[in-house]
Amino acid sequence: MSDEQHSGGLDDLSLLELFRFEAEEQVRVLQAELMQLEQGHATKAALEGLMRAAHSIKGAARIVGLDPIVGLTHVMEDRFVAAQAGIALVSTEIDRMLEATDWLARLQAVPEAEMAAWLATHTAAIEAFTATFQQSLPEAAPTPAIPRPEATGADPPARPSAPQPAKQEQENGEDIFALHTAQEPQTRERTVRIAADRFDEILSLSSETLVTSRDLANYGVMLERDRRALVRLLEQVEEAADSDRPAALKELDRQTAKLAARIADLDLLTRSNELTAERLYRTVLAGRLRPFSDGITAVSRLVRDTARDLGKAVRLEVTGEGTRVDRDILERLEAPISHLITNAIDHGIEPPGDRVAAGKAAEAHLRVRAGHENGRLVITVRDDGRGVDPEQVRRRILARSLVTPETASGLSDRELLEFLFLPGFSTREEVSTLSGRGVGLNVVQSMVQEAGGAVTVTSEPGAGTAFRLTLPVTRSVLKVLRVQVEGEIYAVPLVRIDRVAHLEPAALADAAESAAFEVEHNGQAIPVVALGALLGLSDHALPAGPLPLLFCSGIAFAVDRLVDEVEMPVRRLDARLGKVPGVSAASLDETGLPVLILDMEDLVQTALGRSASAEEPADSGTSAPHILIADDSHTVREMERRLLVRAGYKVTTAQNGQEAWNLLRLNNYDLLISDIDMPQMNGIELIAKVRDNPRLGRMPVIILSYKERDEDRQRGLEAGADYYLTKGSFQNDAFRQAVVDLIGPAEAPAAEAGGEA
Amino acid sequence: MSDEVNSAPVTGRKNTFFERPLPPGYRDELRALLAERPPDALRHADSLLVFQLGDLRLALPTRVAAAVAPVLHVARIPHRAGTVLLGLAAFRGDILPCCSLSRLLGLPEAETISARTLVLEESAGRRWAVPIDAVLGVRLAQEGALNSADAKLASHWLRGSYRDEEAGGFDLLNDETLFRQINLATA
Repeated sequence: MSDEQHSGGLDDLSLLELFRFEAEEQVRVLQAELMQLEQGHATKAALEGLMRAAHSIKGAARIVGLDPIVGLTHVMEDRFVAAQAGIALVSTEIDRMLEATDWLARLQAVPEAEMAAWLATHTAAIEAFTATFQQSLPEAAPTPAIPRPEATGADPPARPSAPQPAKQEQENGEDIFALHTAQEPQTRERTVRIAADRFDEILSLSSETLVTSRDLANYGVMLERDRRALVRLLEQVEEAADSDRPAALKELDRQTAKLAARIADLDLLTRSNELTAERLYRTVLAGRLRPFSDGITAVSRLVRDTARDLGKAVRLEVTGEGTRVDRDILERLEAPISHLITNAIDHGIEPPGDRVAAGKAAEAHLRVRAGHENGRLVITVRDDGRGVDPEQVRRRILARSLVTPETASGLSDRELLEFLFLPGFSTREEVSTLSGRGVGLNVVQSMVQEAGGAVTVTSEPGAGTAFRLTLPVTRSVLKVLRVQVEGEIYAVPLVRIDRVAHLEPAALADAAESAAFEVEHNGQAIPVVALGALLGLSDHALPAGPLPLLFCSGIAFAVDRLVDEVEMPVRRLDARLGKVPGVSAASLDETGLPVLILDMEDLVQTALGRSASAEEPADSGTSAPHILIADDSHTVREMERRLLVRAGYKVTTAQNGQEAWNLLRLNNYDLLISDIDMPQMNGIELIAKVRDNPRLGRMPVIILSYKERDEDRQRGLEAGADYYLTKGSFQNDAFRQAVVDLIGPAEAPAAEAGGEA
Repeated sequence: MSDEVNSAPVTGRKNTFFERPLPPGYRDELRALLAERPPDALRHADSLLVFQLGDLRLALPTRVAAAVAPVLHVARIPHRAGTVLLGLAAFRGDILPCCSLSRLLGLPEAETISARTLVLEESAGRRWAVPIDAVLGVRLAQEGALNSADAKLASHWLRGSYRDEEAGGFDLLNDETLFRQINLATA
């Protein structure tokens, strides 16, 4: 069987089933959060969650053409937006919301074959409900026209109508029988969804099989040893002359022959077993990868429908459909790509008339491209529409007082475009069912970030906009070179290695330090760095003689031994450990032992930083480390500032994440200390941006928060903070100590700089 | 569950047991049954796992002791040498952080041969590997036996000490403090 057949991949699923999966999850969110709301827990996060859940279902319903549901969820979303703006939901409205959620739950339980009939029966009721709902909306919520439902093009239903399951079952989002009713169509039963955890479990089990088969091989060696012992015994018997000798001899001979036959059998068995195990292992590994086309099954339909709804002509071109993508990432791709496409057609692409007037083809060209670049998965969504006008963005930033006029005028076009990803930021004045609420791009960004990636936007006014999603491939399988360093095995991603060689480094004659070496490579002198020392495992000097060297981006890393080249499944490093310098991920080798995968980019930066600082001694006098503090509490900010200035550091403060981000882009800081809960941009978002930025990515970050729960700590560390401290740590000196740990002590008390930004 | 399900005859291939309509109330009954958490026979709230760590005889509630494994290979983590975090260990296909209890508790680091690895479960799915020297057994925590007057560890680490003659006595670690400190020391 091919892995395609095993995997129960997305290609087995119809669009409607995909919708169902999405709706299932979001309905659960709606139900849970609405219940919370009813009990008076109307937090900002809960309202945001509700709004996004409604927004997601709306998007998914649009894809599958469930227009009454688009209308219904749109009204729900409007009301949640109004609630976010301060118009609290009263109890009757929550009832209505729950009733709407019931409709969604009911719809989600309808078998595909009966959907057309179900819609025919219930569309009128849903629309009537939506209309009543809409009339009761508060003034502040925008209420655009709801699209008329179009006739669904499905075949006539096999059954006259869908069974109406008991209400109480639909309210329970986890009805364990929902999948097993006798009326379920066959297609449902053929699909098997495997939880990612379970899949990983299969992977580790299969590697165990591999281990067992190797044990078997050892067993064969042992038997062979026994046979040799028998042979020796035979020789002894031969020497000892006795009357019993012929019989004993014969017996020994027979035993030996039998044993030899057994070993031969065992050998065959072992070999076939080892092959099987290895095949199993490879099959499971391959099962993680799916073609990119699987992740965008609904895109062409989406483009067609959206373009038709908006009266635009759009030609879709998808390239790189065969690009192999890790299934974890693939599952997270469809929603952001759909958002980007809807956005492109709604905002970017002009109506045909305007296009012709601007000298372009009436039919717009929308390109989606996937491919691997430098070991990363890169997806671009590019349109040839009107592009984004940076000045319009600038006006909008100012209109919403996101930055001061001085800062705004200093922002480059690229920096301006980054504001498009802010929550609630939209360049569009009116809100449609499609977009314009500013939810889209922020959602795209958070979804891509959740998958460990980043999204950037480039735009040329008049010529189009391109979104570039860069995602790590480090969630999937990595080709690595295993090396031994100080007795430990580490894996180095092959894509990061330019060359491997055994060379003898030459000591630098003029080096002040004794440990400076370099080698000649392509006529260039390349600095040699002992990987063990860089990883903090030892401070041994390089041994004399030729050494195995890994050349990466202008640095030669010396290791003890090159072990082998293998493929390894990549696992995320335990979030409890925070960011470990020089390490990107972990893996289990074929014998089940843990191996760390090195972050060569980080190591190269560290190595370069070291040699750079060795070459240029820090300029004296004004060299106090510069710290940026982001906290919305004036008291806390002032307290931190005084403490650090007293300790000799240079300090600048910012009142929220956005302000800090603007400062970070304009100046150089040695350390960022951030709160989590801040308006405009919170600490987690700020740190994620810092970590995503090539220049700022390695910057040490401390979170200082009131939140003491483990989940908060984990969230902070997952976002990339080096330390997570609670505000109580002022008392016990942990705060100052953390600063010293990360950037070292300041030489002498320095004058404070910057002040309130 | 209802008897009529079991007693109904199987009449043919098309009408198998699983295809027949469910008797009334069956779903609710089964849902209630499934919703009920099965009793966890092995993890009594009041049973303790007693183990040897250097000179100390320590105990932890068995509910946090997920497993005892042989010595695991520990992959060293760069820049964390000498800290409480010894490295990463693989256990049943999972990669777990491995911590030194001796370093955490500030005990003198006698180079004892850790014969066993205790796998601690802080919460579902959140596990830590901790090398220990031996497992001494499982005891039932008896009321009134607590007395931490002559414990060898600082009192904040302990819930109390057991000094019964036959077991030779042991100190019961405070698992909440332990996990909190492990988290602080490894982050």
